[in-house]
Amino acid sequence: MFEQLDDPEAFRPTESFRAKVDDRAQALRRRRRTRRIAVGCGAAASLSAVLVVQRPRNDSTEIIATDTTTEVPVVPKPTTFGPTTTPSTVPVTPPARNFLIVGSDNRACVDPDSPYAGAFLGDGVDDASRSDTILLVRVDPAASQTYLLSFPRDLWVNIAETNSKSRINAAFDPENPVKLIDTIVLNFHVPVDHYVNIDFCGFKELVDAVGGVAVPFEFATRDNNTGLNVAGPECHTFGGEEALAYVRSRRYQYFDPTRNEWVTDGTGDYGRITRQQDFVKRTIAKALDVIGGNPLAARTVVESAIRNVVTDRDLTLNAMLELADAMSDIDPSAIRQFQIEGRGIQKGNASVIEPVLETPTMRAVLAIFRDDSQPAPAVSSPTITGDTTAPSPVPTVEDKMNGIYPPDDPTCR
Amino acid sequence: MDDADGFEEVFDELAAVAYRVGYRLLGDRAAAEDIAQEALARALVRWRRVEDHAVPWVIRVSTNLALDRLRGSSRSVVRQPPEQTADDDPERSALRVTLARQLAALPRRQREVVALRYLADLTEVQVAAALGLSQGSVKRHAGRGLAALRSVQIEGVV
Repeated sequence: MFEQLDDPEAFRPTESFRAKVDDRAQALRRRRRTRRIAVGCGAAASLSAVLVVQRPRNDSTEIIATDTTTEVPVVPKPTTFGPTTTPSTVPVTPPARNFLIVGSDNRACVDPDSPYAGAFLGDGVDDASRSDTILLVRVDPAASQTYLLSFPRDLWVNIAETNSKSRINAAFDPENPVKLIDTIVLNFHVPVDHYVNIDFCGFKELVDAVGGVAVPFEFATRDNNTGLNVAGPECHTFGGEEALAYVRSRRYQYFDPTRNEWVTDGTGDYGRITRQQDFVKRTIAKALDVIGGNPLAARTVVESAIRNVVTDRDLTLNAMLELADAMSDIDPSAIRQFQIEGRGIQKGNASVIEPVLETPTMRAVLAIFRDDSQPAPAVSSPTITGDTTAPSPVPTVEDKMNGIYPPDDPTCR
Repeated sequence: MDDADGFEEVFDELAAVAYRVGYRLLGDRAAAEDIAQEALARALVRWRRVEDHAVPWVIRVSTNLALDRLRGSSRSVVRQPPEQTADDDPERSALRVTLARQLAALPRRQREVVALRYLADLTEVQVAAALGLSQGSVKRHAGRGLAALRSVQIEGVV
């Protein structure tokens, strides 16, 4: 139909064209490590989420839709075009973005007859939806890097829209995501580009949609509060429901055969965060195994996993899949994991955590999540003609690992 | 290389279709070659997963690469659309710009169908197979996509 737009001269690939394809493929291969992984796919899948809010910088946040029961048509992205000043430069990689992912209770999704119902129905008196997990994910396609930053739910912070301090999860309001977003910006000075709220139903569907997620265990492991029960040393594949019992476990115990007794991970929420982050990485890796490098399959999986996708103008499913494509060369085991550190204090009769941000480590960690720490993404970076030496912004910061977490076992996946 | 079995045989075909998509949107030989090289290299490194549907895969990647290039990288800055593409004929150039802008604004499914059907000139049957849709759905998406393109007067073309 658009023949009139064709090149009047017929195109025939030359030797040099062919050589450039091989060079570029070589460069891409060098960047690929053990496996291809599209982080965006994981993030896109986590849109089984109920709510996505657009948050343009320096602008008010607008809730586009919060419907969880009906299908909402995807709003097409705004057409934004850059000037084609340098038409022979390279296709541009998407910029780094911060996604705030909030895992929240939704007891409506929990079958009271489930063996894991204790994880949800037993430990709370109020039925209100609460935040259970607060995780900032930075996806930086230009650097082929992904970073996780968790906020312990007992963090004692200034709550936006109030003049008082409280636990950070008090800022979670399912009807008003801006409150939590602003609280994070206010206390930690990191931008939030997108907000995704995934509830228990969404999490279960996501894990089931990728066919379960495998985790290696060195010992028999249990949590009598959540119903977690892994029989012995094994590579255990979690289905959605059981996975919730695992990622929510704070009274995590393993059986030490030499002492012949159950040992409790005393790190509570910190250990839980480490296991959650590890689980996120495994889920992403599994999603990629299932999806492969095939964008059509990616969409099929993501769409089947997501019954109630609600998107804003900016974070369409397609945008996520494009991001996934851009991230298709990163190694899931290379995802960095961090958490906000602090010291335990007493407020009245509540034990809370006061953030301690002025340490070299926390400064470096927070800098990763700020845009100005990133080397400016070169618009005309030579991604076609040569290999990119991906900038590594903070090689000096160690991943933060607390408590009991899975051993390194590449065969268990 | 074993993993690239079959790539050679279809190299010319893939290069041609990627180039065509790139050129129709960008109107520039060098840019279209860049797009085609990138799309083919990406296909090559994951060839075993791509080979069964290599043509639509390459079309999709080329379309996105070309639209990305037109769009620039910024997520929040709404820039002015380009005045014209590299094409030296102002009329054709304006048409390309309009086409790209409208294409980018289409819902995903329509955009894919329009790209496969009209940018790469696949038949309805081929498009249906590539996207796992029925022929009726392809017809419907193509119709709506074209209607949207028409609404902004890509005159004399659609």
